[in-house]
Amino acid sequence: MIKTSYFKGYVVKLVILPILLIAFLLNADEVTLDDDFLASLDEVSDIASKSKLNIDDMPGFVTILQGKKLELLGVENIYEALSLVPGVELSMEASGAKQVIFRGVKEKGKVKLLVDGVVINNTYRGSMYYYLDFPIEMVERIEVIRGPGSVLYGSNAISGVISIITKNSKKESANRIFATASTATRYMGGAQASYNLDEKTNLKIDGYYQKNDIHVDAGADKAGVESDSDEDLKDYSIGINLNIDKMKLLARYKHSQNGVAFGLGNYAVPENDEGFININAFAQVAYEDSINADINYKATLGVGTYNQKVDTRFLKHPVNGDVIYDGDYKESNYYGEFLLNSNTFKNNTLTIGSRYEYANSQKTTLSTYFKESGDTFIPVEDIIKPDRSRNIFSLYIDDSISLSEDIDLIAGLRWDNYSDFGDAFTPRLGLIWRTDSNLNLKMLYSRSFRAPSWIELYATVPNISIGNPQLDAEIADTVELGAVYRPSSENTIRFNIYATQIDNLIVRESGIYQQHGKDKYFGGEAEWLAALNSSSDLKMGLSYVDAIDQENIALPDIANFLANMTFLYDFNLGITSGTVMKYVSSRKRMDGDTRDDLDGYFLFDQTFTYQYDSLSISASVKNIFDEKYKYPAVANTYSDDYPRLGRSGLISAKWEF
Amino acid sequence: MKSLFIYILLFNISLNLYAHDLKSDLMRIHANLIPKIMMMDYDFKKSLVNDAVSIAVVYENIQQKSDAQEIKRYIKVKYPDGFNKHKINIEYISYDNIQNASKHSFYYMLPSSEKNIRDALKITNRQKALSFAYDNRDLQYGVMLSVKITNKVKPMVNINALKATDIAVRPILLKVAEIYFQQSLIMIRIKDKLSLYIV
Repeated sequence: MIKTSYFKGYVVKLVILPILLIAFLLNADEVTLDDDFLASLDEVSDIASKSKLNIDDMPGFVTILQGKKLELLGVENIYEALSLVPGVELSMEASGAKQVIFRGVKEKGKVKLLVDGVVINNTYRGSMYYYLDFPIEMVERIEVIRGPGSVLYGSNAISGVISIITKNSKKESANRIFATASTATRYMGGAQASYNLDEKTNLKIDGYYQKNDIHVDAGADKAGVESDSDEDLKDYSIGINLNIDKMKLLARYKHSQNGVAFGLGNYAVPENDEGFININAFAQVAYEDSINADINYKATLGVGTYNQKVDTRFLKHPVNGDVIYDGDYKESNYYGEFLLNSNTFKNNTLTIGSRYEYANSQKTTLSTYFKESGDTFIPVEDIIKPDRSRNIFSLYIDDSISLSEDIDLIAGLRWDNYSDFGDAFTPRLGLIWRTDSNLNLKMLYSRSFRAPSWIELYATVPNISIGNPQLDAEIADTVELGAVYRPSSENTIRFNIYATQIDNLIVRESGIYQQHGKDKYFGGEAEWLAALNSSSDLKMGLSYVDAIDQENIALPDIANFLANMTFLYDFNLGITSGTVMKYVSSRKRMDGDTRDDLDGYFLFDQTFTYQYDSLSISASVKNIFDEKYKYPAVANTYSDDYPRLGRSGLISAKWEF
Repeated sequence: MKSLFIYILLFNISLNLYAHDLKSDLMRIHANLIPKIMMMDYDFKKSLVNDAVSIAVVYENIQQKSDAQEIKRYIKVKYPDGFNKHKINIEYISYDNIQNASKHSFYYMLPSSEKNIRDALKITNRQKALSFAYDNRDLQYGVMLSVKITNKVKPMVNINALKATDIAVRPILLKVAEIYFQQSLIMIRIKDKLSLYIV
């Protein structure tokens, strides 16, 4: 018995166990192979999402502008790039603050801007214009949501969301030096550098400096004085991006000094006017990881600051001469966000997020005085009531449910609680139907909101700007229908129509902020992307908008039709041609303005780029036909509106190593 | 003058219509997946050439040849030390010279005419090599594999083409893939049921 038992044990040890072990190892190898394959599919799905290859299967209507292509087209900055998005019109305030009008929605604070995922819009006015002159050489791509985006992005995402992805945030290492000079007196130079400190640690640093001395013949100002505009710019930024395994630290400082183009009060500014200084800085640390194959999360902590200094002629008093506006405003914000993505539930892609933000004002000083005598003009010491603060707590959930292989249902809801005005609920509901491999249909309803800014709530300047603490959020409801048709792999046609109604409009009447009325916007956008061959790339955009107020009167200063076309052609000799054509239709005047409608315009830019190894040199002619075009000025100010630059030349060089 | 410029531009565009372009992000996705898809073949090791993974990129014209170079670069960046202890060799072959192609493990086929693709497939099938289409519409001509990008990236498998060459693939591929039936020229998705059919 003992021998038999011993024999059995021997057999088990020497024969069966090794067989089981081999079988286990083989099986383990197979499991690893399968897991590895599935992990690769997740990885490439991530590439598709990040590069927005799958935008046609996502809710909303998105345009992607690639930095590399924009450079070949001679585009200089974010502002200019946005004019290539269907439904986006460019304009400018008298102060020189650049405006991007999405779908005919002109008012400030209704477009959200993010740089590498960090919100730029300030609490002061909801504005972000001081980032629009960010050079295109710094940009990897610009992702533009046309239409609402409040469920994921919160306040200000009423008519559009602009997300700038800088080259610093790219995974790949690259070093780059670039410089540009323009006959329009613009000079810009910058660099990006990347260091792999070890296998898991990468440091990227970028920076640029740009300067221009643009003066345009402005015609007669509000006082009837002929002058030139003052659009000087001295602007620089430095950014760092440190990746340590799953942790990412990013920080950026941007400092701009602008001339007050046509004058703060539409009175031309004298020479040597200090103008505006806008300083924006942020630092953010984010940790991103997976709990398992189906759940990943991202935790973010950040701090930001915005400072605006103004020292300029405000208006011309008929008796006592120039009035100087000297203001210094500063705010900071601190935030934490937690985001979780889950595929745990079958056929569900779930996003759950929460965010807390605290903002406070640190400087709110203002003095207005007569330049000659030094006497006070308006007896106030603050632009807004001092020591303001705001707590914002947000929760959001967004789910993409695959009802079948071809139909996705999108359902989302966001709740924001603002300590200074209350709650905002913003839902969205959508359907994506992949009818076949050629045609996708989309239907989307979204609510979005804009929290009142501090200037609207707490301004203290009598007769000019008095805040109203009773203001509530502006609310916008949007319905969108769209189709994406891909007749071949080289052609994509996107078309969508929309209707938006913005309620609870915040308006300034007789110098006091009030809330009433609604505006309606109806329109359509179309894009044709044709990859003609491996050397050519064509993109055309067309849009129409009809913007009316609650009495069905057309809103002023908005172009009904916009069209653009870009065409890149690689001659395969290291030379690339980039052509840009833009058309903007005429713009109606407001009631009571006796001037004719402002004429539409057509712009044509041509760029040639020569690439030799890692060096590329570009030469552009902007506005080849020297079209005389203008942005609209309000009635009884600049009768000839705000003229823009004529023909100009541009040379730029880039060296990558 | 303005009209002349527009005319020249539009004329230039019309000359180039209906040719092909290749998007680099899509090729990055293909480059990532190609070696992993090859491992889905049960007879992966038999397909090796001199113990190396041999990939042929089939191109139509000189413009596509630069795209072929691009996908080679992506594969080399993603798999600098080869794959699964095997060196990766990548060769470019034009559709015109495909008849003279030596044995390869895998054919990555850039877009071309139906005739070119069908002619190339005669060679790839004779070599019992996996064929992969840049454009998933080319599955209708008999290419075995491709990918489709919707809200996720999904492999596409031409079940008839695989069956015709007796290539057996791992069930996981069929489980996650969209199955393409060549005869009907309609994509039918029955996923799980088909894993028994082919393996």
